[in-house]
Amino acid sequence: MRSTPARIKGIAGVLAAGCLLVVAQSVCAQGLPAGPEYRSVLGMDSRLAVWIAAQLHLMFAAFVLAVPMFALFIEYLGWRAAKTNPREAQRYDWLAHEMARLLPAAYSLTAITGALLGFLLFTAYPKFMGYLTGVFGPTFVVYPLFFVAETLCLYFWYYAWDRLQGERKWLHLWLGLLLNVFGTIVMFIADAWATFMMTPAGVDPQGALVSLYDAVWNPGWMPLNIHRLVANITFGALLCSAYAAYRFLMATRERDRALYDWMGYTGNLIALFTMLFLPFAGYYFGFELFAFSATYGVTLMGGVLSWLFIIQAIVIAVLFIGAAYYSWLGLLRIPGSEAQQRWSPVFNGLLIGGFVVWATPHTMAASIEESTGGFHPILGALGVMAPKMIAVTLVLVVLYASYLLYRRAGREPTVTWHRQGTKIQWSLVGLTALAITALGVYGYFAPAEVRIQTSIWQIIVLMVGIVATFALDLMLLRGARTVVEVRWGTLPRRGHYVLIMLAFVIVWLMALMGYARSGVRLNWHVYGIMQDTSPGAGLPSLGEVAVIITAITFIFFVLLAVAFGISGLAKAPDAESRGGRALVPDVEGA
Amino acid sequence: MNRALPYVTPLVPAFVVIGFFVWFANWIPQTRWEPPKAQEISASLTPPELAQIGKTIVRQRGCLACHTIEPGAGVKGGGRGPNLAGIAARRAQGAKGGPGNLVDYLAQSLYEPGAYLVEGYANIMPPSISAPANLGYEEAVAVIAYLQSLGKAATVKVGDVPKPAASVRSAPSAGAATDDPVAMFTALACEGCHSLKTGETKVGPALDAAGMKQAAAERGMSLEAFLMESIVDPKAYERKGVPSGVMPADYGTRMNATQLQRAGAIPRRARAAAMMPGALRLPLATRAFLVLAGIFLLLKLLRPVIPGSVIVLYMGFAIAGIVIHITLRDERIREFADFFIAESAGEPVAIRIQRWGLLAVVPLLIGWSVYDALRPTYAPPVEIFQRHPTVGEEILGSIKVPDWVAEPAKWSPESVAQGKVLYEANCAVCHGEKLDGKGPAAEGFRYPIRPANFQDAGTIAQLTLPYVYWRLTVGGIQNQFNSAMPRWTTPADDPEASSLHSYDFTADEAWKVIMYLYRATGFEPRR
Repeated sequence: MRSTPARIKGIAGVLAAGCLLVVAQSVCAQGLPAGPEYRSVLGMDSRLAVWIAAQLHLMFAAFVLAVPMFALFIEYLGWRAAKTNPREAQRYDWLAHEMARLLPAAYSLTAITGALLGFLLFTAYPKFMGYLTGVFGPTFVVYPLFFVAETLCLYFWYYAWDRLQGERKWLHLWLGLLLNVFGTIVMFIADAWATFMMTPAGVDPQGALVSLYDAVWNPGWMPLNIHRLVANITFGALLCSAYAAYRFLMATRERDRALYDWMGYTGNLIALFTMLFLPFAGYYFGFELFAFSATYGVTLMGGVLSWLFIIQAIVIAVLFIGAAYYSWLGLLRIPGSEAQQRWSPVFNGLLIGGFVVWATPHTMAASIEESTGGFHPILGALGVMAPKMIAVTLVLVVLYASYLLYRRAGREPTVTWHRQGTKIQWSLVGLTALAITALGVYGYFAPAEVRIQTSIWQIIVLMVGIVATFALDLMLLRGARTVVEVRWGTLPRRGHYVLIMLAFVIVWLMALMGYARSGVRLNWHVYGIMQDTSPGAGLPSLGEVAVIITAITFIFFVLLAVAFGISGLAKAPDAESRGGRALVPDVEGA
Repeated sequence: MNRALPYVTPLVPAFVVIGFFVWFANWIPQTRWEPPKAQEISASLTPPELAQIGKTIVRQRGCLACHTIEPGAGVKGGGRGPNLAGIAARRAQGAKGGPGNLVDYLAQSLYEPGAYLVEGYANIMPPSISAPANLGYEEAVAVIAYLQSLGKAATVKVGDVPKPAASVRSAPSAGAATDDPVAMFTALACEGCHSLKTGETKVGPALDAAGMKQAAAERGMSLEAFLMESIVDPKAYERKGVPSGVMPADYGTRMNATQLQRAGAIPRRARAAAMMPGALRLPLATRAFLVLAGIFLLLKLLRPVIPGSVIVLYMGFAIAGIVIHITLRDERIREFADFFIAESAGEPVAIRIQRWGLLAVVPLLIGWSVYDALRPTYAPPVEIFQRHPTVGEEILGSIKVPDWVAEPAKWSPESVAQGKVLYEANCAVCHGEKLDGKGPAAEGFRYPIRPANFQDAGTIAQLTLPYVYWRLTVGGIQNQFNSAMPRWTTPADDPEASSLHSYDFTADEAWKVIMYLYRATGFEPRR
């Protein structure tokens, strides 16, 4: 545990960084005299410096935004269970707190990287930032206020954990909720600036502000809000999983292994659940971008960034297959789950097949000999949107089916109609897959607008299928007998290696897509309104991009490790007792 | 070291995966995108300012590969072209030949260098408004200002110099009408810089057969491959002692496929022979290998040929699937590992053969793939075959779709019919009468390069009207938006464009052709 002076220092540090931003922004919001368009910061490459600072800031911000969301949810589950099952309640509370332990250190880094980003932007791009603060003046004042409110909530929520137990737990939950609300508002405000640069609205063709409301609620705003909210949770959950995996591998006691195994499993489950929605959130965002300017569509999918999307497909495939692989390995924790394990190779084949289609390029070639796109019967047919939508949606069906099977492992339904119910349930899963395929095939032959409609219907069918079969599953497993307990702590080490790998992969992916989102504007600060005439206005090659985002990924992890080390996480005793209570519970079956 | 291992080992899979991403991102074609260049030379620049810019241009655009600047050396310096130092002073002193006025003289020398030749010099200079110098009008003015300043004060400003005549613009044909190698040598002005005689070095190396064969052999290449790559990418094999960057880099696009083929031949890759598995119950490792080999062969043998990068992609997924399959159960991991590690005395010979066979074959295959990936191959740059080049918003946003085109439901049958006539006269030769990319001239492209197949759902069906219009009119071959497609108008900023197509479309004609494309294929333009 940190001492009180250390806490005060932490809070003071973050607040100071916040104040610095307030001052910097309000100075610039007053408008800049005619000065240089660009300035060099200490002789650095401005674009590179801003790129690295922005990406690091986004990652830490995503982490501190996402972790309180599911930590609060888990805490809530514990509070709900307090009366009926105190042991489970204690376990949930431990998990929520264990996840929240990562926050203060990460929060300080969010503030520091944010201040650094602000400094770099205002120094290197004074004219552009002057324009942006001119358009968004009021939001630049409100933003730091919410940021400070979020800071206070976070620190009170985290440090008052032990004091607000028992009767006062509801107060703690409210504090957590407020923290989440403020955090989300902060992200939404920052999203308005970022999306205004991509899909500007509320200004006249010369860029003069007409409506602040429209500038904030520009076409890209809500899609990005949704995409980031969901992706942040995936991101935060996978980082928590990786932390748990590392603690598992370093743990020397059985009980600690059991706890961190369970924590890793929970994190991966949250990540898998949110990943179900991500492709659609991404499509929605892309759809809005394309609707705003067709140039975006061509640049992203057929032009200079098209190879990036093949890489993205591969990275996402690694993410999905890795997360699924971890859950299949999880069956090894459950003795007697051989019936379920038999399906893992089948699911493996289906996932691989689905991603083969998803990553198939249409017209891109690595050499002149390869420019067959559009003429090759296989690539021409598989490389377009309709089959890819079929593939990715069916991949999600397979992931969901894996989860359904996992729920069955080690349990025996007691309801009398369970055989018929199971048949109906799996028929529904099959029917969902069939309907998704049929819609996709129809969309393949239809015009673009219709095809987009069918892809929306595919998502609706998937959601309906999931909701229906899951509701059925809940009924089927009501009162189910637990045949064997899950043996937490027995997951093979390779499962934990995968969790750590997934954390690296999602950080890398986030950096890659951060580049894509920013790069697609090409040589525009504000698309169509304010041109980027700085030396860094072009796009580097993908090889260079890969090297830079790999560097960002490693800087991120090093900073995180250092911050965790400084805050004592690395050495924190596993079975610490807080407030005289042994808060590290046993995991059932451990 | 051993104490650090437990901390580092869990990170290894992550490092391997990230390493793979970085390798893949560096393995694919590396294209940088630069924004359209802003006009840097404004009309308000003073002559000394222009001269300063001109100085940079003269150094950067290869003028000094032939000319020299030797003050006091007279007209004959040490270069292949006249000495530029004192050029203004010499004209002022009444040097004869060409226009009397200095500015006109310099302009003529840049626009039509063959119009007047200084005594003792051959007609080897390409017009500066075409490759390799590719000067725009303002740039030409800047060069003139600089040349003036060599011996006199610069006086010229933008607007003082006549613009190149239209006839001049299209005169120095960038391409050649012939595909006879000897005729091409002359028609493409290769002889200006290269000699066919052994040992005679002009600007570039002599192209004698013996020397070329030797140069090719030194790089382990066939003569044809070496020549073709040297044409398409002149910087690939620059020789020491020869000025760098002088040879125009656009011959790959100025020459058509047949011409390039005549300049070199296509080496065919050897194909691996199939290997049939035995009928016995095979160990896991052998089965895994055979599955991978089977998938690889299937992908290799499928026709039409599947691109190598896609095969790499698919094989990556197949390997991942097999690794996952093996590592899903501890028993499988043991079975796989024991096959290699736990050799027992009483095991069948067949198992031993398989073990040592795999241990020998797998490293060999890896070695071969490394060699195959790294060995020099010849090919024109892949970017020119990019189907949907990236265009800036400032360009696309400026294209306004006329009212009579904007609504596909209201397209008049007459316009579509006129578009059909225009298409068949100009486009069908490559793109085919059925719009399937299989026109008669398409066969002249080296397989599998083909003109766009509009019947494919991945081409015009994915594009908006302004994009297709841009692509058809100005979005073809040019420095920034590389593409094999000619641009069907002759824009003022790129006079060379006219040499690559036979007819200039008017805006209305271009729209009609586009209408026909959509009507004939049944696709709708993307909105």
